[in-house]
Amino acid sequence: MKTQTDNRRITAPEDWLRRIPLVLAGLLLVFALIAQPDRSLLAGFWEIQINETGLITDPMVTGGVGAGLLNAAVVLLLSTLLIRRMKLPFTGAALACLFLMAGFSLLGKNMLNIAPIVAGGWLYSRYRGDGFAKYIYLTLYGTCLAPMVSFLLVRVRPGFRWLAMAACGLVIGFLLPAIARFTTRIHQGYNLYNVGFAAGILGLGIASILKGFGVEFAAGDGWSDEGHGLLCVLVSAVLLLLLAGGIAAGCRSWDAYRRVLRHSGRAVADFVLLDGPGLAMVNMALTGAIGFAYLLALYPWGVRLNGPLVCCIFAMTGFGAFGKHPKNVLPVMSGAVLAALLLVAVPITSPGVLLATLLCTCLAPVAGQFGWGWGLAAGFIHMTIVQNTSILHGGMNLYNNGFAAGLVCILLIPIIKSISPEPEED
Amino acid sequence: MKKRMYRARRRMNRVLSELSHAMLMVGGQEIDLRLTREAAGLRLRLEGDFQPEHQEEMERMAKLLQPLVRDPALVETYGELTGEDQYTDQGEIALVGQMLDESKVVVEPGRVRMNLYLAY
Repeated sequence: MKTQTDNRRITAPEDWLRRIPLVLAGLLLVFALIAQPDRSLLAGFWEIQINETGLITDPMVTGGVGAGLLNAAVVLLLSTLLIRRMKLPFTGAALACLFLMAGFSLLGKNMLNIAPIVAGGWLYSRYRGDGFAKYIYLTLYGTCLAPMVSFLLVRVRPGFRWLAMAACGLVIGFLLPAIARFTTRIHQGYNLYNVGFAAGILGLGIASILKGFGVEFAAGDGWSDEGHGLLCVLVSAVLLLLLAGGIAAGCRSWDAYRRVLRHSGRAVADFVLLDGPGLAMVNMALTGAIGFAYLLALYPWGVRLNGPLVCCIFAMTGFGAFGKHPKNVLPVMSGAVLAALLLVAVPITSPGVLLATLLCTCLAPVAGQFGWGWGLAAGFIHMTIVQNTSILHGGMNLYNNGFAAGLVCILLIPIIKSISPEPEED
Repeated sequence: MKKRMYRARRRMNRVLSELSHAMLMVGGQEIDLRLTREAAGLRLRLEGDFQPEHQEEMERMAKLLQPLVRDPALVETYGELTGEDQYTDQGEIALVGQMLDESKVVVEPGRVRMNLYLAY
């Protein structure tokens, strides 16, 4: 018996995968029109572009539920078109990146504040003499520092503000890819939000310099609870469509699905490449559903879906194609919930804790690789560390949980490796 | 060209590290690695044996080394994870498959042959 596979470059699997972000953008647009079917939609959209954003800033407070969704649709559409223009294949990495772009447009990214960062990434690719395609994920993830761009747009005196914002964005976009490549080695792939870690470090540097010049950062604050019903329908529609698409693509039994659970999730666990798009889509739906179910379970305690919380669900859903699955996210989430219950000063339903409980799942590979016990420990430590990291970058890094997770890895991974027995090999 | 050569050499070192590690993990007793510098890239020919119980694993590795699509952005984003003896599952091999420009892998019972090419 001889097995040989030719070195084919078939594009068939990606052709229909490309439609997933377009369908999501379409859904966001339709729900935006349902939520604000009048001229206030565009006015709110513009308000979101020119206002300050921050770590826990809900654009639905700034411009309305519909305007927030419209903002997400526009950012997602532009990001999708950018990736399509680069002629990149649609792998799990692309899906994770685009879902994150859509999600974080409900938590601080907008068309105006991401543009200079993307331009900075393009400049870096020119400097390196490479195509921009190679840096597109790093650049898009790098837009997590977009609040810094908005901050300068709002706070710098007229006449200089556009220049300051453009310069800041260009510097961030130019520097972040190199830092992100380096930080990957530090956490060894156990933090799925690697650029969040890199952005935290860069944000710390920039915020420290600005603080040295007397700038004071005041993190934005906004937490709506108006669109709960509509957002529940939206999230349900997204998850059900992914589930149905995955089943139609061939993942039709538990035996077919459970293959994904054998992966630790450590980067690079691109489920589209490793196990095919059908299985990846079902996993995206199930992983996102865990976050959704957790938030719905807290309904009696006053938790209502809003922009930031939908962002978390989208982040979990997107990374369901790139490292997260129910078996490795549940231990980490459990650890985070346990820590939140024990923390004296922070209620489990406070915005920061809710975000951390869902976004700490970027540490899922720790549970996948070293077992549920270590996953629980990672989630627990994450919840305590993340309470103290936003002050370092002035709340300007939207992936604050990625930053905290990088620190958790630095603390935890060497300890785990030093006390774990070495594998016995023949 | 010098800059590209430098990058290709760094990537090839990572490929070598991952593949030799993976071959030893599946019980390889003798692994031949032949690295050639060609006009426009580096070519690695690998031939080795493995324990019969790892046949399925090797066939899977062959698929991952010859992916249907290659994503240069994935390599740029996560390439630094390869070649550090962190082999945990086949994620690293999938990444190696993404790094290569051409690959041909033949798996026979207990034996594998690879012809892998990395352009400058």
